[in-house]
This record gives sequence, C-alpha cells and structure tokens, in this order.
Amino acid sequence: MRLSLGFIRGDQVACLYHGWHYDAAGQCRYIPAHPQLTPPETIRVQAFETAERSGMIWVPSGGPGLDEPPADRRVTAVRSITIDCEPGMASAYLLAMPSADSDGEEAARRVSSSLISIDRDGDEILIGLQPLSADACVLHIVIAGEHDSASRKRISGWAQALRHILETSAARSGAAA
Amino acid sequence: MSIVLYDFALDEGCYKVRLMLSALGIGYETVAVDVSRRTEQRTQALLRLDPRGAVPILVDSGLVLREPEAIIAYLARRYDPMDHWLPADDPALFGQVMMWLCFAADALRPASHVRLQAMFEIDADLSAAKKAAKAAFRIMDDHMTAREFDGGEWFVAATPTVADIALFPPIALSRDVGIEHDACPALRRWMRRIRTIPGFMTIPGIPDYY
Repeated sequence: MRLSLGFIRGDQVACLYHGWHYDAAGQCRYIPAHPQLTPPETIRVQAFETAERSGMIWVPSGGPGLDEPPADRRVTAVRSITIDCEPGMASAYLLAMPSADSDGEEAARRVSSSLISIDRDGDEILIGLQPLSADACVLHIVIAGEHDSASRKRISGWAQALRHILETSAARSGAAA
Repeated sequence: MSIVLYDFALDEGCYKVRLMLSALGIGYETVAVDVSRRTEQRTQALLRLDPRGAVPILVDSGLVLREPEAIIAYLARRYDPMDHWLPADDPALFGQVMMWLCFAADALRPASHVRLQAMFEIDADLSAAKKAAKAAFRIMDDHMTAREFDGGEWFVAATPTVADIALFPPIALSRDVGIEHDACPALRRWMRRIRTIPGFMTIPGIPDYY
C-alpha cells in the first residue's frame, strides 16, 4: 500500500490501509489499533530531502549528475501534464525551442538537469521535467512572474498541443521500431 | 409516493443513482440484484422492467426508468425545485450538462465495463478498454484544468449538476483496474469537492478517508 494513497492528519501522513501515522522524518507515531502504544523506532519509512523552488517540489532522484535544485523565482503555476513519450524525446524537443533570454535566435536554456526555460510569445516558461518511466513523463509548467488566468489558459492549451505532437511522434517511432 | 431502486451495490450506474437520491434527500427502497449471477437477474419480473436485465432501474409511482444518466436527470427535474442539479431554464448550461451526460454514457462506458470484467475475473483483453478509459479521463482533466483557471469548481455550473454525479464514479473507481489518478491533478481536486456535497456516500473502492 503506497503512502501516497493515504491522507494527511495534522502534520502527519496516515496510511490508508490501517491508519498508521508517520511524521515528516518517516517515524511511525501512532497505530490506531494500539492507541496506548508508543511505536518503536524501527517502524520507520524512508524520508526524502525536498526543496520547494519556483512552484515545484524537488526531490533528489539519486541518479548521477544531479545538481542542486534551481534558484527560487516568483512564478505563476499553470499545470502538471503527463505525456506518454520517452522523457529524452520531450527534453530534446523542448531544448530545440527558442530561449527566453535571447531574441528567439538561441535554443532553449537548460537551467538545471531537469528544468528547462523557453520563450513563448515574450513569456518565460519554466518546465520541470519528471521522468515517470521509459515511455512517460510529467511536465510541471509555470510562467515566470505574475500572470492572469488568460495567460495560464493560453499556456495550458499550448501544453496540450505539445503533448499531442510528442505523443504522435512517439507512436510513429514506436510503430517504426 | 414510493421510489424503488433495483440496485447492485458494486455497479457504477447504481452508485450514480444512489448518490443523486442521497444528495436530493429522497427516501427510497432498494431491491438487490446481483448482476454477477446471470440467472437471478433475468427473472421474468425483472425482464419486464428492463428487457436487457440490467440495473439500475428506477420505479417511481408506476414510472419505470432505465439508464443511470436518464434516471438522475429525471430525479433532478422532478425533485429539485431550484433547478440547480439540472439547469433546465438556461439553454447553454442545459446543453453542456447534456453533453457531459452523453460523455458519461458513451466515452466512459469502457471504464465501467473494464472494471466489472476485472472484478468478476472475466477473461478478456482489457488493454483497449483501459486505453479508451484513460483517454476519456484525460479529456475530463483538461476540461477541469481550464475551468479552474476561471475559478470554476464543477464541470458546468457554479454549483454541482447531474453531470458531476454522472462523471464521478468511473474515475473515482478507476484504481480497481489499475488506472491511477496521478495523471489527473484537476480531477483529484474536483473529486475532493464531490466529497463535500451534502449526502455524499462511498462504495467499496472509494476510501472513506481522504
């Protein structure tokens, strides 16, 4: 049973299965079937170091070449969109787009190993690329600065079109293979 | 006035009707029909009410209705004097509610079928139906993502409608067939709102806690 299926009670996460509560360090703090018991220290789940930057939560993936989470910036959230294509294909496609700190001449900038900055009609869009599997990834999309709902809707529509392009070419290369 | 619901506890369509009855605060009786047992449900009495021998069937003072989307639309029209659940006087809202009801009856049917097949261990290739279900959930998530940018909390109107009731069970129960909700963040938020509707109740597969 994954803890992500559980629910938050105060500052603890409770497992959906038997309601065991865990604190932020991963230590079990409460077992509903034995309310008098202080749970032993051995009942503990793995805790991950996290950082909140630019509207996204960053977790070390344990992979090689991982750098620090990027600097925190003021952003407007758009959406997290799941795309059924190879993560490498998504980043290659995004990196071929115009960058925000040029006049559209230079390619998109890789801010960190998993954050890409691109220019879209004068807006700087930051995209956190989260690989899910060999053939699926999530793009966490924000716009730098303050923006209204019209901008968020426009960028969200752009993300849907991007999803369509990437999945269509993923299906094509899958069929060719 | 007496309302009788021919009901199978684990069926999504029956759950839609129970949700609607409960949200409207209407009392009713149920007749339990086990659709997993092929013989029992096809008794003559039941077949007279539904030639296909399917549930839900609603009988309200002699009126017999089949198809969950039609039943909840009828209940809203008949028992919601405020017309909140089915905004019949506003053609644009009414049209959108009907659009999503048809979507629930058409695009989301693969999700319902695949779940019943998985539950009763019917041997069949479920991959095509699962793919269709995921595609339908994505359309719903894109819609609610756009709605939220304008402050919208429900599929069509400022308050929940029969469209929200009809769309909720297939996605809420999709984990039964291994379709997680991680790819649908806007639907996850919407499903939490559904839980706040007075009269909301769960069925096996939808956790009591959240």
